[in-house]
Amino acid sequence: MSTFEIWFAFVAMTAITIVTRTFFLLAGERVALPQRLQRALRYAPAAALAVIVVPEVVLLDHQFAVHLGNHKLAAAVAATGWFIWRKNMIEMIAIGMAVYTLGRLFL
Amino acid sequence: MLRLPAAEREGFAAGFRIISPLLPAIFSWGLVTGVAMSKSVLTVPQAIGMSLMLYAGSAQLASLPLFAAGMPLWTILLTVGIVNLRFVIFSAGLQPHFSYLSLPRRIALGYVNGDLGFVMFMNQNFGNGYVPGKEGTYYGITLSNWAVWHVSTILGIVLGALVPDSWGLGFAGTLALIPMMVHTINSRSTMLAVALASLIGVLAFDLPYRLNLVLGVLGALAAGMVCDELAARHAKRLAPAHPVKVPIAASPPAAAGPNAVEPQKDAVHSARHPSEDRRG
Repeated sequence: MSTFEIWFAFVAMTAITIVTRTFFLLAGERVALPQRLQRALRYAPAAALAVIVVPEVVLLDHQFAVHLGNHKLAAAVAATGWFIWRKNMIEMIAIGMAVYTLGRLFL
Repeated sequence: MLRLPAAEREGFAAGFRIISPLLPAIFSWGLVTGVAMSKSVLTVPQAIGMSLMLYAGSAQLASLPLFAAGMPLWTILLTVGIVNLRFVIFSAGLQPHFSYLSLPRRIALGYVNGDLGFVMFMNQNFGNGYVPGKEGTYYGITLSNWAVWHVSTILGIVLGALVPDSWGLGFAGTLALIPMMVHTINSRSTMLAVALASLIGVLAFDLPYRLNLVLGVLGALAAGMVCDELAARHAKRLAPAHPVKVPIAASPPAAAGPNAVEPQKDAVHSARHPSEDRRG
């Protein structure tokens, strides 16, 4: 992407962010999404994050790599476990990066 | 600012006190986001510009691999839109509180909203419509979040740029998306939706234009809706036997996977119930 395209992308991304953040505030009382759709929308963000995170950690060069030799997977599993246990994000990142780095350097 | 009514000024201070215990968490999340951004294909000024404009951590982090892969603009915008969809629901929660304000003020109000700020504000249980001090409280919460977020992100971008790329710090951005994901998994149906989305995301990974993202999210929405429907029917069937309140644990056998992630809440929560508490 050229520099211009990147900045154009930022402007468009910002516009999308503002539209989503202000959706019902903009629409006022005139628009109401059906309850069923609103409930379904709750699943979208977590699903999107999963689609981004999971392939990155279970695939190595487009190949399925679910074993401990995959440092990113080992790190992500350790980090997720730590986060669920301790609910602390800084510790989680530290653990994840430690596992990733140790794996990368020594295994 | 100085001409604000006393009630709003007190509200602002109260808002700051409400969010202040969470500011260290916001700071660390922003720092990690900043470091990840500095390790992407973006230059330092671009990373700072993107962060200041978007003010949307998860969406920023999610878009980084797409920039790196040179994906077309529409796939990046779609990703940002989907990751931000939860704010559409949040805006429905804010709407009855602030619908009396003018349009520009409603836009400003929505723009500074974040996950943590929204949850903290809604916890205050203000009445609908105009309440003295309510708008001040909202801005006390959200602008504290806003300020700490920007300071920490820019600090992360600048510090991250000093660290050699070989340290692999860019991976911290992927890790930083995990808390948001874990926090949203508060029911079996979300667990199932996330598992299915992951599966589709991996299987369809080689499709062009990140179509695996679209397919994964659509699959998750469908699975989630089916779960909600089944849970609602199950609840209805049980209702005569247990007239008071039935905790719903209904989900199809497929959901019997590793779903002990978070304390299970019933699957038919109202749409207004915010499940996240990380800023995004």
